[in-house]
Amino acid sequence: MSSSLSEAEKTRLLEDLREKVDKAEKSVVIEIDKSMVRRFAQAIEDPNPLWQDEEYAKRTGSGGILVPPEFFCTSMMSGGGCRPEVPLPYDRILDGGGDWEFLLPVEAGDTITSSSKLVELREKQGKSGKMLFLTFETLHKNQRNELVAKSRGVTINLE
Amino acid sequence: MAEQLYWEDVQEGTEVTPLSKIATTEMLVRWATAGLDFNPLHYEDANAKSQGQAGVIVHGQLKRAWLVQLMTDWIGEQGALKRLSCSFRGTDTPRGMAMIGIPKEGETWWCKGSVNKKYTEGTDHLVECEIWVENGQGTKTTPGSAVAILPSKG
Amino acid sequence: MTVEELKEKYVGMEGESMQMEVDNSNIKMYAQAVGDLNPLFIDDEYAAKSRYSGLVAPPGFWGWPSKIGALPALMMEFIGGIMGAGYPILLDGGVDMEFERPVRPGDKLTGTPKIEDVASRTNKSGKTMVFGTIGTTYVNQKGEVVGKTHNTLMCLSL
Repeated sequence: MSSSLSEAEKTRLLEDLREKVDKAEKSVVIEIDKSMVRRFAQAIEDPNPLWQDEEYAKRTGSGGILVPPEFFCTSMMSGGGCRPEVPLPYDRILDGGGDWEFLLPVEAGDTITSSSKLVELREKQGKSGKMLFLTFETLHKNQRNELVAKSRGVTINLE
Repeated sequence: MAEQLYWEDVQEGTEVTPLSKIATTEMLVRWATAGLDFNPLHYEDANAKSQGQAGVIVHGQLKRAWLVQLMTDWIGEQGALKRLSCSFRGTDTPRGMAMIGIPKEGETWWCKGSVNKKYTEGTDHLVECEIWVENGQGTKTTPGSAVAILPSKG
Repeated sequence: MTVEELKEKYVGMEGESMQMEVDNSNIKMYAQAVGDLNPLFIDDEYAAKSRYSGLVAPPGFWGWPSKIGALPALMMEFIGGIMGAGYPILLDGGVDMEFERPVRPGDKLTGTPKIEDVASRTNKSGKTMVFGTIGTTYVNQKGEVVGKTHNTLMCLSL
């Protein structure tokens, strides 16, 4: 696939990107409300009443509906929504997957601060051009500054 | 934001400040999710064609929401929208996306209106407007009307 | 069924109430979907200093689509009834809305739909179009009316 940028521009962006490792960071604050949780659970068709039914969730001892762990795997929580903007020299962007650790329960009404950093850049030569693997690490803390989750994800940028 | 509009500032024939909109397939996805309206007429071309359309069409209610914004932007924070009606006479085809966040080239829609009547009711100062959405060819696909309270200078 | 028979059967019937919880996020999602950057609807700090003392929803936020997913059984039956009578193409014909009170995060709205009318018209190409009108009044948790809609659905033969 031909890029909209010249070779010189692509090289410059790649150099800029290399400078950003261990430097580029971003923090995003998200107030998680009931509608967000219910909408997410319905979208993935997870019928667990812990994420939809307030009365049920309260009976298990929580203050309200709980946030399903996989909510942290969304772009908004640990992907493009919270990662620092970095220069990408090539047109094709793919999600390379990731790892998540769920440490503490999260409830609707919690405010989560996600702090994300570019921690690694790996460069490979593929058949059609260069392949870049960018690894981001994100720490998710609640309003009590407790670490509720950690995520590590890869963005792939292909020439 | 624009200066607050007052009842004394308008006359019959005064134009409502036009509002431009670009309908894209992304906007239709956002609207479908915001309202839980997953009618495939609005996100799947094959389904839209089986219903006699050329391809996916813009949700009528999204155009209604544009017209609400036309009025709320114009009447300002001190105004209050009381009534709005519209008919979805013509269909509108959204632009596709060139890539994330970037629509393809295509038409721009305009929401427009003009004051038909200004009057008072008790202590309220009101205007009645003719409003509409017109497509890139100037065709009024969504005609309607609205009534709003405007603040008065006294 | 003829249009007259559809009218006989359905006009006047009320459907089950629909419930909607209003949140900060669903207001913002709606405003973003419309492309409305009015800070009253998306900026908590700005809205707190406004005449509304807090975030409010754009007028008509509570209208169709209702953000509740499944429609009451009566509405499904009514729409199905018209479509099944030989008018399988369903289009939204238009809406008439009245705005009474602002809606805020934390509000719990109840909407009770009622079938108001069935009418028909022949278009220029000789096709019959059937119009079904459903009226819904939306009330908040204090029992105050926040708004009303009259939605007209249009059904056409193939």
